[in-house]
Amino acid sequence: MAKAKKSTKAKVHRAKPPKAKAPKAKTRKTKAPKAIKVPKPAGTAYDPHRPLEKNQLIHSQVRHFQEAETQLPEHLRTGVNVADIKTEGQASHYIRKVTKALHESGGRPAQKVEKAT
Amino acid sequence: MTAGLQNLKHVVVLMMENRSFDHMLGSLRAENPRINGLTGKEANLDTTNEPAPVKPQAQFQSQLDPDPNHHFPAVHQQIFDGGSIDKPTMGGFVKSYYAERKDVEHSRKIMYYFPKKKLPVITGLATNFAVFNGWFSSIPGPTLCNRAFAHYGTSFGQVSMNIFYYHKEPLSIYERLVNAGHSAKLYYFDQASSTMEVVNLLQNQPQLFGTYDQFLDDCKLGKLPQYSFVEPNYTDHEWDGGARIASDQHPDHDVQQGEVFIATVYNAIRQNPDLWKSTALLIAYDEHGGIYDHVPPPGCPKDGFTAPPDQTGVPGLTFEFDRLGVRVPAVLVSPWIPKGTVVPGPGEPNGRVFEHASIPATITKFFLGDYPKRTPREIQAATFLDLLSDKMRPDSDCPVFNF
Repeated sequence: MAKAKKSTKAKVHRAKPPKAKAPKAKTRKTKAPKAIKVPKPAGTAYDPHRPLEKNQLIHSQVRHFQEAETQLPEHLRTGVNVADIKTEGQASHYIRKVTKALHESGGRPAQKVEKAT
Repeated sequence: MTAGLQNLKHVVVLMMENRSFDHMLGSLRAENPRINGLTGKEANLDTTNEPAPVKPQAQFQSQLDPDPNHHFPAVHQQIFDGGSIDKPTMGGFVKSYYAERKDVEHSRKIMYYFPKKKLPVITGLATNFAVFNGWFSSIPGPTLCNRAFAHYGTSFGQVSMNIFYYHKEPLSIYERLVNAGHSAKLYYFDQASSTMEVVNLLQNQPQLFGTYDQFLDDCKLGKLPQYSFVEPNYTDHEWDGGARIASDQHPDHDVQQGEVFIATVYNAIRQNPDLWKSTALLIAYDEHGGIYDHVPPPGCPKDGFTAPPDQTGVPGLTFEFDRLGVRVPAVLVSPWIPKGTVVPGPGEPNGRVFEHASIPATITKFFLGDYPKRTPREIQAATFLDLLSDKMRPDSDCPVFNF
């Protein structure tokens, strides 16, 4: 196998161009704010099948939406029997329907304000 | 008037659900003794008369199942432990929780609290801005009557979840502002979560409401009203084919998702420089949810109502709305607040007592000035915007949250 020819060429040292000096900053360096990492919940956190009786707050919410629904005009009522609502997911489905209907109803005209007793 | 107040254009209140001060922030005492959290020596007796001490073993979910009772009779037991109402001992939490499952070991978990590292958002905000040692729920009772104090400065004599009072004086803080030509909005998470103000404001004045997506847009576009009240997601539900996890932190919902939610509200304000310097954000919890706190609730001015024994559920007890409920976490955020501010509570030098009537009291004072048609309770409630100082902290001194 032929040996590789040794280069006789002298190494050329090229002068490196001078580094461009950054102009002295007239403004102060902005320090980044401290970042706090926020962990996400576990995948098991989501449970729309959670029984409604486990959360008294949502349970009472359903009763309140039922009460509000009785004040709506017939065509905006959902026809849902709240006794059939057994899970949080079902409750939210009902709440969504009534909330939408309450917005569509436009509310009630202002009445005379009474002094609370 | 301080420069912070001169620059203030918006106040945002985020109200979470059902966690006590000690449960969420009690661990902070270890690093800052000015924060009236836990020493580690606090305990209740369980039903076998064994001490059940506080422990930093709170979990994000599945630990407080069933939901601890926080209706008036249960809270009465938690505060007084069967003793005189002149002497709140905070000694009845474990016995109260025992009644839920008749399981002694399980009942002791009501004393558990979160170590700081598990709650980087609420503890991060509490240590970077202002934390209140003495913010109490307005009533020793459940959600709706307590939230009513945040909207109306009273619960109209209610100590329960049955709140029906629309078109009675005093008007809600939103109506007061809008009637005077100011802007105000309640932002619920989405229509499937909706609002706790169903049979009163939503039913009658739906135009006062927006969604959380609108809140985010309003922050981005600089269209936030002068006063905003933000509600978390109260239910696990599907939305447009995706899963939305409840973020209210109500047991047994995931506490970490609530942390994510608080962080997104903060970031939405923080990321708009004009909004950041002109907004104060209050994060408060509506009530303690039956979970242990060591500070006895103080007395307060009566608000002109009484709840007889058939409403309190405690034989022979008429409640005169002259004492507060259990202490809750409350944090005020603004770049005009010095880092590490601790607002002293009752029993401390220069101690101050806040409750949810402080919210409409503060908003009314700032935006409307003198406004007489309120309960004596709200008129005398402490206000909190004096915490905004003359000096705005640099951007680098205020944290951001990354996901």
